Amino acid sequence: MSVETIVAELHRLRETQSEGRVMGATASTSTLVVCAAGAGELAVLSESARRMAIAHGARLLLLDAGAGGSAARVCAFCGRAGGETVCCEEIALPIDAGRPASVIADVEELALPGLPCYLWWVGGELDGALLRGLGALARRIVVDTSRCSDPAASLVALDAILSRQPHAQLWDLAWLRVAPWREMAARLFDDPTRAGALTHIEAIEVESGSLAEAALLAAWIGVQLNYEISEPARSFRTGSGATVTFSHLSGGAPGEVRMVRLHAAGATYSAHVEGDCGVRLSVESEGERRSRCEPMLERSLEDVVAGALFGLGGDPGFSRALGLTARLLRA
Amino acid sequence: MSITTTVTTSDGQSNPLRAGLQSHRIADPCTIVLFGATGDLTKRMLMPALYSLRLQDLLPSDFAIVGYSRSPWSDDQFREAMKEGIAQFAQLGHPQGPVWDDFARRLSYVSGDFDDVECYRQLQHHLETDLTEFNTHGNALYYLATPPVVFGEIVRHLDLAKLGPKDTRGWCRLVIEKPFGTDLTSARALQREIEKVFPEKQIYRIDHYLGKEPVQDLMALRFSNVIFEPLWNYRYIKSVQITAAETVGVEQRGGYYERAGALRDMLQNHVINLMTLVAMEPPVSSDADALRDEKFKVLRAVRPIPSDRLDHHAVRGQYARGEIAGAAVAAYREEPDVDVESSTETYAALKLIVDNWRWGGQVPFYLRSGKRLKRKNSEIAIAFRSVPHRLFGELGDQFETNSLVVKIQPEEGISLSFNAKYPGQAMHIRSVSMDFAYGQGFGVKIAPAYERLLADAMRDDATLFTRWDAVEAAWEVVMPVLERWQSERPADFPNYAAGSQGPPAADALLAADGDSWRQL
Repeated sequence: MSVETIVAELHRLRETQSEGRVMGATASTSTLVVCAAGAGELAVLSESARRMAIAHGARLLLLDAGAGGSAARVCAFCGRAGGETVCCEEIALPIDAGRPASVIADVEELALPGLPCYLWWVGGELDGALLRGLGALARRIVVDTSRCSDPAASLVALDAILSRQPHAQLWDLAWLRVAPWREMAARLFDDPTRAGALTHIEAIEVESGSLAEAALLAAWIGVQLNYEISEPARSFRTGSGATVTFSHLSGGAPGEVRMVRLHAAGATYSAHVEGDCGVRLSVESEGERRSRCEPMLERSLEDVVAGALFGLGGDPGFSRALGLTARLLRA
Repeated sequence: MSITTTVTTSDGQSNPLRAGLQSHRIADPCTIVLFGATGDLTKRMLMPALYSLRLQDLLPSDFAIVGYSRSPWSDDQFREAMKEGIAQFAQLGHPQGPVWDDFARRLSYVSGDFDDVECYRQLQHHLETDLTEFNTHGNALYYLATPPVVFGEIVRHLDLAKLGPKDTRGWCRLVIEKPFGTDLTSARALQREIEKVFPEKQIYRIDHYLGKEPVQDLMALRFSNVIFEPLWNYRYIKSVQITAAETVGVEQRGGYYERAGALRDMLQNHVINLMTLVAMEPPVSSDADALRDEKFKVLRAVRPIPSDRLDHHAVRGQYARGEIAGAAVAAYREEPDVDVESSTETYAALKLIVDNWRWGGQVPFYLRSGKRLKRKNSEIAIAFRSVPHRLFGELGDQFETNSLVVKIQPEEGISLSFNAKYPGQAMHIRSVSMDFAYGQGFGVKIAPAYERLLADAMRDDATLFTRWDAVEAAWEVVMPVLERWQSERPADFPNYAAGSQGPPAADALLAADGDSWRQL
């Protein structure tokens, strides 16, 4: 189906609405572009994308690089938002990721003109022309380095993108997933008697399903404590010249973090997922263990993505942590 | 407002991992003491708000909640009652799992009268236990969700039990529900009593209207857009209407309402507070006192209501039997705990004039609030003046003036109406509106006002709380009306039917200015 045919079909949908056959206001405040690389990925995420489109009044543009030779599809769907029925237009477009210029041109044609465009980049590699081109159209971009085939390379690529475009509104879901763990790590040292131990950290261990979350969390700690990179091993160097090792312990599904553990001055400070407890924060020192449970705030993938794309922007901590992560992984 | 913080330890050492984290945990550890813990406010509003804050990770990591009330409950009964309240009113689903378990173990209860010294000793014991068990740092937030008559008594006993600010090891704050006093004299007496124990900076007079998103957005609308502020004065604004209309009657609060009435219950606090936000000058900063200074200045600029023309500025009403949403409802005088010859007003309307540079004494602010009205509706409506010359008037169209409406409840949003050409060969003009609805506009759930206000009180942000000078000035504004209404029994009560727009005299109040109320 050509872009002209799709546009004609969108007009037909509008007329259907103006004749009163679709009950609700057509959402036309932005365009949400979801671009998936792998076969079947969009099928999993399309319901979430539709809910986001309803909630934020967006035209939904689903780009499917794994759809093979299937045809484009145009439809409208409706839902409740703010107590009213809102209907959104959906365009599902099979794309050939090997022809980025053509895809970018189509998206330019199909995005609502003059209105913000948001990009959720699912699974594809981060160093290609397609992301660069779509990213240039988008006001905000969400990627997920956890889902890339090589998370380390993807983090380095992401850092390169941000270095070239420091004002780009670009989020990594891996970083957003780490947010509650940053809070947990901070809580371990809220007690005034423990804050001093932060200057004596010897090792950072993170257990997670992907290297991306582990490296970002460790690098965030490094940024907070003014670490530099210690070459050649994947480790940090403190201001006083001491080495802090970083270990990624593989465990859990991609995107899942299970534990962060810091070794400092003969004590072990850890936060780990534990059944009904939520997250157990514990400190072990000289055979004595003190611990408590903290509930972990659960956020759905949809909420995290929507928050990053449509919510308040800006987290300077991300670019700093990503920078240190990239140097750590290159080391 | 996004706030970042670091946690500074008692020896001056900070936790560097806190730097740059979002404001989640900005509130210090503390114990929240709820006086009136078995009452409706706690069950419907406060506890659901606290639990919701917990679910959002917006409470301090170290906190505890102590309920204090007369009912002879145990800790477990208190927990169970609060769980039921949360399940019923919080719209968060049934509380369960590790978050609820953790929350519940931080709840405890003191049973006793508000003047029982022994019970305050028990409270002291609870606060000490919380300090040890939950690391609350000895900080205490006392929330008076009680009948106003015991405010002074509780504060006095907190002092006697050495639980006030000068005796506690952490910070100590007092949150007080409205009404603050029943008139100017009693408000001043209450203030004198409270300020013996709590400095003004530690008193948080809560007005939940100010915690509502559209009310806060009024400041954003005015001071973060260039298109409204140049018009925000007597040259372009014809009048301002502020409405707080309810369909409910007095329900189980007949005894309280008989002594209060609409003027004290709503106008003197909620509605006048809204008026100050509309009328104030831009604050010099977003600092709490900068905002409150400007609100106070508005009240000082309100022209005193002249006693010889009081009927041209104030109207009262009381509902008779009527019908709301197809159901017959009783008259006010038939409600439980209400005098059959009651002269308490269930409707009050005021016309206020602000004498300052911006308003020039030329813009009437019409305020109204009433019970058992046709529709529940709280809003601020700004009516702009007409265009200077009606270019299209000869075609016979009825122009409407532009209006900007801030919808507070039940809808939350902003509506701007303007005139546009009706499609066709002729130049016919019709009024159209642009609507912005919260929730839909931002795709987020709007938090109840109490969540915001409780969190603000815990983190020492008094911006949305009313300072004493404003409370006193608001009483000064309404006192001439209150005194007249107390001294003169209304001859026409009941004077409006339940389910109507209000008393005819209120219409006449605006008709005298060539204006009319917006339809409910």
